Parts: sequence; C-alpha cells; structure tokens
Amino acid sequence: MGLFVGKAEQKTQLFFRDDRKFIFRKLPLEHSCIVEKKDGKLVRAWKHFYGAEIPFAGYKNISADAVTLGFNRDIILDPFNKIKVGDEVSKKPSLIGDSLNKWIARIAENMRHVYRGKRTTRTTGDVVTWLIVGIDCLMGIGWAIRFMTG
Amino acid sequence: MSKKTETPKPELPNVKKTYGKRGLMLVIFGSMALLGAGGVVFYIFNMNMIIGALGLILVFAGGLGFYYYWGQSKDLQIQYVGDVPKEQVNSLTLYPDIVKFEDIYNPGGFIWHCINDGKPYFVNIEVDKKIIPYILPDQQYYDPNVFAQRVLDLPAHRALFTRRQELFQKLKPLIAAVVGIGLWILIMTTTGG
Repeated sequence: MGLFVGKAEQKTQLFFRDDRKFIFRKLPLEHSCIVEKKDGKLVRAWKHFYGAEIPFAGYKNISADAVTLGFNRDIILDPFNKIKVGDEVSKKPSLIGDSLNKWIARIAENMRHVYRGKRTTRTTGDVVTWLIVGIDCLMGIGWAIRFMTG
Repeated sequence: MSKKTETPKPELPNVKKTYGKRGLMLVIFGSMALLGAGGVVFYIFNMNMIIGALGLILVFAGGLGFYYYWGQSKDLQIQYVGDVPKEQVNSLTLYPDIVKFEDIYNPGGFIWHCINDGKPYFVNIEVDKKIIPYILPDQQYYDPNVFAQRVLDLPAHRALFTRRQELFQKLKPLIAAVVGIGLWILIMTTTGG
C-alpha cells in the first residue's frame, strides 16, 4: 500500500441491464464480491463464485477471460446451477426457510472481522502534510545551498 | 533396432495479446519528473522562482504519476483465444462451458444491445442441448445495492472504528503550509528571488 489504495484484483463480468443492454466489464473483486464503486464508496456488489466462472474466448475489442454472469436486480445469477446450495458463504443460499438470512448474516459477520482488523492508520491529511513537508525541504535545501555558495 | 517414436508436441492455444498504456504513462510521468528535477537544479543555481516552482510541481506530479502507474498491474491482455469470429455475428450464446459470439440460424427472443461495440445481438442460452432465447430471472436473493451498502459496507460498524483526529493532527497540513510560506519569504528576502 502506498499513497494510493492498492489496485484490487479485477474480474470480468457479463452484466445484463434491465433496458436490454449487456456489457463485458472489469470490476474489482473485494471480499469475494464483484463490487461497483463511486468516489471510493461501495455502490453495488454481486457475490462472486469461482465455480460459476465461464470461459469467454474474446470478440472484437472484448478481451478473452473467465466471465461471471450478473444482472441489475440480484446478487447471484447462476442459470446453469453450477453453485452448490447451502448456508456457507462459499455456497448459494437456499430459497426455502431462513437460509438466505443466515447466509447474509455470515457475510456481515465476516465483514465485521475485516473492518475490525483494518483500522485506518493514515488519513488524506497525513498524505497532504507529507507532500507539503517534501516541498518545504526542497525549498530549504535550495535556499541553504544558494545562501552558502553565493 | 527399434525406431524411437516421437510423441507429438502439444499445441498451444491460438492466443493474441495486446499491450496497454502502462509503459507509455511511465515514460511520460518519468520524463515529467526528470524535467522538473532539472528545473529545481536550475533554480538552485539561478534563483529563478518561476522555474523553481514549476520544477517542484513537475517533480511531484510526475513522481506521483510514475508511482501510481508503477504500482499498476502490467496490463497485458489476452485479446482472444482460439478461433473467434472476425466478422459481425448475430448472437451471444451462453453455454454451460463457454460464452461465445456466434451466428445462430432463426434466432428468437428480443434484441439486446452490446455496450462494448454498440451492435445488436440475440442472446441465447443452452438448456437441455437446445438453444433458446435467454430471459433474466426475477430477484430471488438480494438487491445488489442493498447488499453493497448495508451488508458489505456496514456503515454503523465502520463508524465505530474510524480514526478520530486530534486538533494537532487536523492542523498539520496548515502548519506545514505556513512553514513553506515562511521559507519562501526567507528566500525572497535573503537572496532577492
């Protein structure tokens, strides 16, 4: 990690919109989800399963990759039923009973542990301060050299 | 004497690769930083404030850009694998083991538009060895918007762990800027700019 947030691994999603348009797009993979962000904030997310990836050979300017299917209204799109059903986070929840609630609760619990272990240590103010200090140092060095030599 | 049998060499997949803009951006930002460094050196020996300030800006802008692109993954992309259609086709078909653009005779269903190339396609899916028009299901699990903002983001929980800044920490950039202005005044008054 540097001044910028490290670039997350990206996955190709074949995304179907409700207005009968589709797009092959690359989105970051974070916390086992393909996420869409705006100004650094999570906007939408789809659960990612490696078992649901389907090879795509490429076409025109669309790169070849393993793609996962996604659409506007749901976090899981598995038309070939490749993902096993179960309450575990690595499976898709059953639509019977409270399986979905348990599954969602497990994901939220995982996220709680992630955020607890990732407390922010550097702010934007720190970065700006170090930049200004860098400029101050360069100016000071320049002045000192000039003052001593001339 | 037995003749040595040669095992056929396995064929590599037919792959086309393309290179992205990372290298170009590294050269541009690196040159910018070097040019800026030249400006700073010029400032040190000639005390030309405009060249010096411009040099500093270029050093930092170029340095940041270089650092950013250096950290990016090498954007080598596999453009296509195997034999893909080079001409316009009419359908996108979802098979359980591959997704591909291809020509389908008498395709049914609605026309979809591919945002990547702006062309219309029929979208089909293979079900029980038959190609049928693809229809999106209704929501079964969870809305992607709610999932991202409530389940993954956990705003209330994150607020508990947000770093709270003290007054000195908030004032640090301002103090550094005041020191910079003080230095500039010192330079102007002792060397004549």
